[in-house]
Amino acid sequence: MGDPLAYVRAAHFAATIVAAGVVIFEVTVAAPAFAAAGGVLEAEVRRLRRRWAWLVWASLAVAAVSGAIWLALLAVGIYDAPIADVWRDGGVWTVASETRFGQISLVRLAAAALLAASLPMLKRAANPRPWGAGAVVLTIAVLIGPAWTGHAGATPGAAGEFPLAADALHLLAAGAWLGGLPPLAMLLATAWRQKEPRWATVTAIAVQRFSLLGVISVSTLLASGIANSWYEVGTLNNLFATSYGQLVLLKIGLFAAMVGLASINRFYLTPRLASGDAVLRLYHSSLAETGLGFAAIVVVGFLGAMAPASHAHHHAAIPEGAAFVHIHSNAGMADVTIVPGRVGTARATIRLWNGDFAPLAAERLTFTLTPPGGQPISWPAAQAQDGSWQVDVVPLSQAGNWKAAIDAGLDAKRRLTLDAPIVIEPEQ
Amino acid sequence: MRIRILFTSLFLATFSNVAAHAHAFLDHASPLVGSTVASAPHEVALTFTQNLESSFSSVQVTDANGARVDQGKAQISGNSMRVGLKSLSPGTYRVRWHALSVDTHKTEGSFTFIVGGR
Repeated sequence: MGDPLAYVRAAHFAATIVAAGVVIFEVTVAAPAFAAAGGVLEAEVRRLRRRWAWLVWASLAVAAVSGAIWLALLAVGIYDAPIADVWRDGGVWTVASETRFGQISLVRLAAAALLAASLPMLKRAANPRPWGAGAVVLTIAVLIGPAWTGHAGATPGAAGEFPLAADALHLLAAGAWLGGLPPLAMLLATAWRQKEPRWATVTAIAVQRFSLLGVISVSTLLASGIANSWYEVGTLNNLFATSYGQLVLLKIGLFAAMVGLASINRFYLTPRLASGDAVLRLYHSSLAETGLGFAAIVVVGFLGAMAPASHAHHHAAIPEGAAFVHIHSNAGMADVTIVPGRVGTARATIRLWNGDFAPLAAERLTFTLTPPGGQPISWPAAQAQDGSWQVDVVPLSQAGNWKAAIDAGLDAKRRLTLDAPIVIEPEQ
Repeated sequence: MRIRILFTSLFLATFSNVAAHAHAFLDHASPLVGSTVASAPHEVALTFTQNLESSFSSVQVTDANGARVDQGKAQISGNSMRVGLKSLSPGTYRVRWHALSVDTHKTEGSFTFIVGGR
């Protein structure tokens, strides 16, 4: 759990979601609610809008700094060199200007800068409607840009277009719902302190509109998620068996808790807004929802960072002089390393991965090698402490194209069988 | 139970979305991985499972002695990578590729092909 990229990603997504959520909340929820209450509350409304503007500024600053660190860490990974070298040799700028991740990051940074520059209009305006449309366009650009640098964005041809749209909608919905919770809580806190009848009107309209926004957002999150897992059906397999799957389960739990709280807000507290301390309870509930949402974003940070982390391990695991093959199928993947990869006696190591490059658990594994023109020889592999499977003594009789085959029993019912050619070099 | 599975799937669907990650793996190659070709090919063409970053992806082809037999910089477009070859004599050749997918994951791999049925 020490990967810095996980925290950087989480901070970046959280900051982006808050910045976007405040803008979307202001335009779609707060502005109509304030308009309905008339001009009497102008001083408090201005104070609230000033605080929202500061929240957006702070969030954009965190997003920019975390985005820059993300880019730098990415450049370090691409060049496989220390940050000081990568920075000195201009590698960070090359990654920024020559990869789609970098180019989209620059566009998002420009949109964020324009949004930040426009915020004084929100602070000053009694009616920020002219500001709203432009701000929403900028905020959406900042929010959904990462969809183009994710899996769907990297998928060739038309096959990537539908999942790309689903990814973008997923980010937009997360921003509108989770990002709207902090400004909602701030509005509720003001309403609770003021205890002025007109604030009751503002609260009722705001809560009603946010509830509608929440229903649309949760539906969009589900629909876009279902669409993408239809496309990514391989990821459903290892839910309970792998640490990756367990993190997904944790996130499902956090989401379920958020939906549970939102349901209490919608069906129990909202009808009671006119009476007693329902506003205060709604405020506390919104804060709790926010906390759960940000915990879920931290999980997203780790989920996203797991793949490259596992891959770095896999990359580092190919010793000099080894014969290596990566075998890829829809059901799972295997890395086969034979050291030394030449005629003589060698040791074979097999690592199993699922479609997301998380380790794939197996109960047993048989490794088979077939020499060129010869008969297959099989060995039961033993599992090492690091989870890899090993055959300690593998006699390699001749050089050439061998066939490596794996038959892994994943559980009582499922098997993973893979094979691929592997080249054995002549004796030295 | 059926309902529970449905809801579990729905929630999982929601969240596996954001977590999805891909790496550019070799989908197919010409000459085919591990194949023996009768006549010397003029180029190696690789197709990957993801779109590639052209500035950070490359391919090299070497003969049995480790000498380069490709014609230098590969042409990279979308998810394909191709590099011209010098004229090859019969023998075993190794293709080594490095790829950076558009979603910023690095992969690498190698395979051999044989010219002339040796």
